[in-house]
Amino acid sequence: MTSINTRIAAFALCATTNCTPIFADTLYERLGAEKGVAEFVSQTIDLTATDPLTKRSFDKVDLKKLKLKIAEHICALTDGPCKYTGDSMKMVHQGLEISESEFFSMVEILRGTLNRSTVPESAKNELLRILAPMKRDIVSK
Amino acid sequence: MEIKHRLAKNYTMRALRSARMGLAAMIVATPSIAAQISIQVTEPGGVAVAEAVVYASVISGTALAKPKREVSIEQVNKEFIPLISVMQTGTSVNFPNRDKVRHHVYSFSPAKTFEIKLYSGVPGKPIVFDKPGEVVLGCNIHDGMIAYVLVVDTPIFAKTDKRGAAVLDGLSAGEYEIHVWYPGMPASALPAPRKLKLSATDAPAITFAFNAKTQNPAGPKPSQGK
Repeated sequence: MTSINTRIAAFALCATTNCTPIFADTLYERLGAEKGVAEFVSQTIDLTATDPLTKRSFDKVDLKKLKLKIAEHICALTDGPCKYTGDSMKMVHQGLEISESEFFSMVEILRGTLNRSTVPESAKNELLRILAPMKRDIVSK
Repeated sequence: MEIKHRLAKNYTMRALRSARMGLAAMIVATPSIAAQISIQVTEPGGVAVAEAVVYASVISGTALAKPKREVSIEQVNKEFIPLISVMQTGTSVNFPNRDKVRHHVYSFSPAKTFEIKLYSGVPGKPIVFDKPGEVVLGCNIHDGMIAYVLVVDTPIFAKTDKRGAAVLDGLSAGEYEIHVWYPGMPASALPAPRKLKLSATDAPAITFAFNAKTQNPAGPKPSQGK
């Protein structure tokens, strides 16, 4: 819904000013599509897997596979051309006993990574809004 | 700690059992009619190889039937225990997950291809290893997890202990071919199988010397880099 509203707003703006219509761009494309998403996912996971506050949950985890699945998941959630083939967030986090503070530490790492990237502010906020509800399936402590 | 404790308990149980069996043997005084083969496995430099698999296939004579046991390969602290297993064709294997996190056990090996998707606790059904051959196990989530299974068409098998020694016992008179195997050891470095004729009371000792040093089989999987 958010992305449709954004598209309408962009269309309206372009109808009155001289600009290239951007209403065809999905959030996935604004995040940098395959390359852009793969990049910020990879950096976020590398940082989260080494940060003393969060690395515990990534011990011995196959990070390469994890990055591919997360990128695929984000692609599917942001109107990209992918279908998520991984397991549910609840299923994959079960038993990890992730605390609220660990969850928010990871959100901060993602936010920082996006801030250092070329992803526009609006796309960044849209993505965070889409991911936020996952908290209830991830945090269990 | 948990493993140590379990080992200690195992040893106690075994000691009790063998004490009981010793007592039974004294009372019944059954004469020993089975042959056995003592095997030593070494690598270059005469170093003992622990955890090597040895097994005997029957060329002539009758293999003593042993009941097929159900065995377990556990997941503890994101590791498979045991790292190396040997079992007879047709053995059922359980994969109890002792960790809080889920595991996703799989094998792509031709001798047994299977997967048990993301699970905790003990999966409902054991996996039957129904073809002889090498099976490499992994976890879809934790890339360092690896285990090896050798499935053999014989009930006569053992693994070497810390001193590189193993005993194949309970053998009837006959002719046997003795094999040795170790994960990752190229066929060219494996000693050729040894043929032995045994009478009912023979107890020969043989040595298998690898032509190459063993590599730690728990090391990273070669096919999956970061």
